[in-house]
Amino acid sequence: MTAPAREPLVAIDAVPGAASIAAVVDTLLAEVLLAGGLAAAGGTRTSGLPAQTYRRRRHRITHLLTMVCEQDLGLRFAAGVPFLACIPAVREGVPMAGYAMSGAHYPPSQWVGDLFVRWIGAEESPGDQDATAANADRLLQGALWYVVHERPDDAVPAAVRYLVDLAATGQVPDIEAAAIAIAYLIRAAARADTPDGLAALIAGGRIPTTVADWTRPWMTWTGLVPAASPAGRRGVAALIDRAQAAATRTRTAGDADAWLAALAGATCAHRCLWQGAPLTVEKMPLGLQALHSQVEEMVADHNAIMFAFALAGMPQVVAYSRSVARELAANGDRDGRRFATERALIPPHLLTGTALPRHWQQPTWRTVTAALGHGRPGTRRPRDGAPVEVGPRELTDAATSALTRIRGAAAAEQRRISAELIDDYPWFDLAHRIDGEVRALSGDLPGAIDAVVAALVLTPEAADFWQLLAELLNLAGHPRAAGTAMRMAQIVHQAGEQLTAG
Amino acid sequence: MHVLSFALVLEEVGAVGKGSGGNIRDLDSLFDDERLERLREHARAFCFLAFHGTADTAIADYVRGGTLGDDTPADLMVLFVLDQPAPVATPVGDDSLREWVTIDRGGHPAYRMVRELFDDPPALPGLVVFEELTLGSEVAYLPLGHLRTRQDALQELRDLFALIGEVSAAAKPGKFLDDLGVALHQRGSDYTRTGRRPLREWLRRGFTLARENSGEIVTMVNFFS
Repeated sequence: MTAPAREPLVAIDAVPGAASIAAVVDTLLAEVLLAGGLAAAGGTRTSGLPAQTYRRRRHRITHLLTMVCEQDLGLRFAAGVPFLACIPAVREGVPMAGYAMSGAHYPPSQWVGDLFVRWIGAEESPGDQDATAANADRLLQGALWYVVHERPDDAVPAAVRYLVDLAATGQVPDIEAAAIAIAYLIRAAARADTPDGLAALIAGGRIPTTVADWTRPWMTWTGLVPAASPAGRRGVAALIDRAQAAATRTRTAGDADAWLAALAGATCAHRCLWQGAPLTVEKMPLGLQALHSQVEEMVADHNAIMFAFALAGMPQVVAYSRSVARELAANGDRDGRRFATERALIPPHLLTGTALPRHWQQPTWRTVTAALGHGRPGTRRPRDGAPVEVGPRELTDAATSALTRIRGAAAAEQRRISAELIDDYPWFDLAHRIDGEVRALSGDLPGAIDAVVAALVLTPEAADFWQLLAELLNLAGHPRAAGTAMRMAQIVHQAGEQLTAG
Repeated sequence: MHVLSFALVLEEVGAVGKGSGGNIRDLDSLFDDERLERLREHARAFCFLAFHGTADTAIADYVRGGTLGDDTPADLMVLFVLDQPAPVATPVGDDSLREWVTIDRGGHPAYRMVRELFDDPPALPGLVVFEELTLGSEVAYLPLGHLRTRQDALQELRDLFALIGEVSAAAKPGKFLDDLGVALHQRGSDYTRTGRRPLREWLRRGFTLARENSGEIVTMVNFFS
């Protein structure tokens, strides 16, 4: 199993063997963020949240898994994941917003709970302009709570960065609300640029102090008019820098999984800029207009690229990008440099090769559940890069046939058969489980554990996968980690179908 | 401070409907009359700040200081040569304008551009001021070599930009450089003035010169009107 190229989101105590369990948690949390980001990037205020089927499959199991790992393994955030607590969860003395690493204790299980509850709230929202204003109000509360309590050097750009980061990590289904919150922060900067001054101004007159102050509707900021200020200028600069850094990540991604996450993040950041910049001024100056037009093209490209991806996978994404590059070339971009620096949303080197490198052909088990959007990737398989639906019969037949051929075969032949099964059905949880068992039989315990991690990321509600992981960890001499895996097996078994019910 | 290629600004000025190709245009097609005329709706006057990024430290440090956008009135467009491409908003800060350390003053694109405008090349660094790009236009030139520190440059250029902005706002069509001459004379500023010059072609050649050195003629991305 190749380690993901990103920084891990979570860390655990030094428990031998437990890295495998942490890998399941880490991959699932990244996948949840990806699901949020992809939905928000292409969505409107009513449709910017992950599909209900996805949320049902991941909500309870992810929450449960993070809680168990917090208790058993000291699970905590490792990277500075931005967060915003949902209102019912806000209590005195507990951080309400910020970056999970930067302040007081904010455990991953609470983050999971807050995020999914916010998604449920978004689904129940009327989805009109008033709802977007209320969403912007809540986002402003988060941004100001963060700057008032964390005291960053320069409050306005820090608050803008926090909001872009929250949106770009897939945690704001209504991106227009984030754009409005950013624009009004920049408007407010003409009258106040300290954390307390901003909070007092935007909250309606005095600095919020109690939980009630921080969570009641504010809405008085809607009267702020566009005005120029040095702090506002630094805020717009922060917005532009975040959006451009996000675009760069799509061009430097190392594989399809990293690219999908970068694309979702970039589009959410671009939409913050695209929808927010016009609200910061009465009329955009020419330079800002030029920049705005560039971003507009990229937001449009995102929608076309995601449609191409859903329809026919990565090869179609490359084909679409080639068509954009050709059109630019016809307009004067003879060496392709402008496409590469202004418009590309994939690494430009993919456009020159004849066949896609293997790790670019399709998303792997790490991201596919979010990437395909409907929460059941195992019922699909890639064909020429495009996801095609397969019936349960085909899956059962493929697994049965592989198991029959594996039985009695030599170790090398067993490995070949299980590898072939994964090649054909890379998103099929049972294929990874079979691979794990085959590897265990040949004495490759680390490889077996990695394979079961893949199966668990695809289907974390499968008690038998957790049980197999526990057995493998025991065999590897890691009884404490095995105990956690076995505990998960028991909890998941007892919860049964409730885990994924609506 | 963020800057952007002046070519992109010209593309935006001429944008008519957008397709998947965006506004992107061949450089040659950017300098048409209609586009340059529309640019006048956004800028009453233009300045070209000519300096060497590592040799003319007072001016370069002032630009690196990032207040150029704040110091420029909304209807004055300031251009300068950046030593890197700027196809997207590009931040200018302490580390900027240090790439062309090996290019001497004689070979620097900005210096070469100024020399093209004069039969008798003036002392550099300096500020080229003109009213428009379509017709052949006269040019005023203010040498800035006497500025010794970043603070000197900040004070002088802030005052000059404000003055140029005021004069251009009040001037009758075609009278801008005359009025500016009077104002500069009253201020006691040293300046020279050329006859008519084909500025469109001059700027077009400037683009090529800058790009031959992997640079760009840029202008500030002002965030507020």
